[in-house]
Amino acid sequence: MFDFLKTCGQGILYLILSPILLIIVLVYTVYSLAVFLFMFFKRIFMFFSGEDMKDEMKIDKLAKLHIKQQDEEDEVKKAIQPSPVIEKTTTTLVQPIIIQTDQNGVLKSVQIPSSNNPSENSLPNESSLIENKEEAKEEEDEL
Amino acid sequence: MINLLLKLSESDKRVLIALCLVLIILLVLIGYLVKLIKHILSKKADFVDNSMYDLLDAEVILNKKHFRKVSWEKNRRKFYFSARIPVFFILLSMLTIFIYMCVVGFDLSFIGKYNKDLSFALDWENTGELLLGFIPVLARWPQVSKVPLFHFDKVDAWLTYIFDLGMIYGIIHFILCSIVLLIRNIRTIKVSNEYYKKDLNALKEAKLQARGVHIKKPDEELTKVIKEET
Repeated sequence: MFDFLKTCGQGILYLILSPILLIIVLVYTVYSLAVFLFMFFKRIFMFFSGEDMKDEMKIDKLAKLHIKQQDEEDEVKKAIQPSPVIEKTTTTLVQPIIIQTDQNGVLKSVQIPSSNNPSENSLPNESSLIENKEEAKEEEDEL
Repeated sequence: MINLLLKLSESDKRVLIALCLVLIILLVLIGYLVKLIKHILSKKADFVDNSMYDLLDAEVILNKKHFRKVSWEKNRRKFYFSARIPVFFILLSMLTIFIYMCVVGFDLSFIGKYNKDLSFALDWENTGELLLGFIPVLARWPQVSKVPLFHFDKVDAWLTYIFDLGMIYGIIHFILCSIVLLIRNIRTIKVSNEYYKKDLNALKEAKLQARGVHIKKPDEELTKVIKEET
């Protein structure tokens, strides 16, 4: 309903404004006749100077050249950048080395797991623990 | 006491309602016609956007004044090439009459005479009544008192008809071309003002982004804490 009333209103408005619009159009027609004559003589002048009005303007040619240069530069940059190479990777599980120390920071034991047998890696070797303790005591006595 | 109230009969009321409906329909038709014309002209004005797009993309346009200068030149060239045909027809029509006058004699009265014969006249007497004393209402169709007369046996009549057709087509087409030129020039001014508008909000955002300032607003919880503290 609102659109209908809006259309009616526009109809009234343009009916009232139509004489003014007609005068503007007629005046601009006279101006455009002058423009036409100007462009006619300009084309004759351009013909004798070796140009043609049908061809693109110089600024259009410069713009197209500039865009083409930028596109070429972008292509060169893309060609220089190395493309990511997908290599076959092998994952290796690294077992943690467990280092035990006492309150004073003296080394107690070091557990280095072996890669072949996972069962050995899980539990510490007792003999190695004892040896390490004795060594740690000797070091303390020396100090 | 003078009775100022109008007394309308049933037929008067019906005629008034019909007149109102005709007026409303006419206004709606004019409104839709204006919409159609606006749509067509906006499509024609898209030439400005298409012609200037590459230039703005390549940044070869320096400023608003340069933009308007280049765009107006493009519009003038487009107008020249589109207005050549109607101007050619106008010149051709005038040239045929001129050549004929050079042979027969410089007397243009035959054009007026044959154009008058082409017109038709209607007899408006006894066709209607005056509603409420001043509103003319059509009750009967008018009689045709004069029909158009064609003189196909005379050379100057043929020349008059060719001249009329050429001039009517040329003038109407030229007026349409000049309206399109006007619309494109207006569009140039509008686009140049929009594109080169100095927007302070956009400038502020650009400067803030360049400085790396934290522009993210605090969330609801933080906002509550801020409000409590203040």
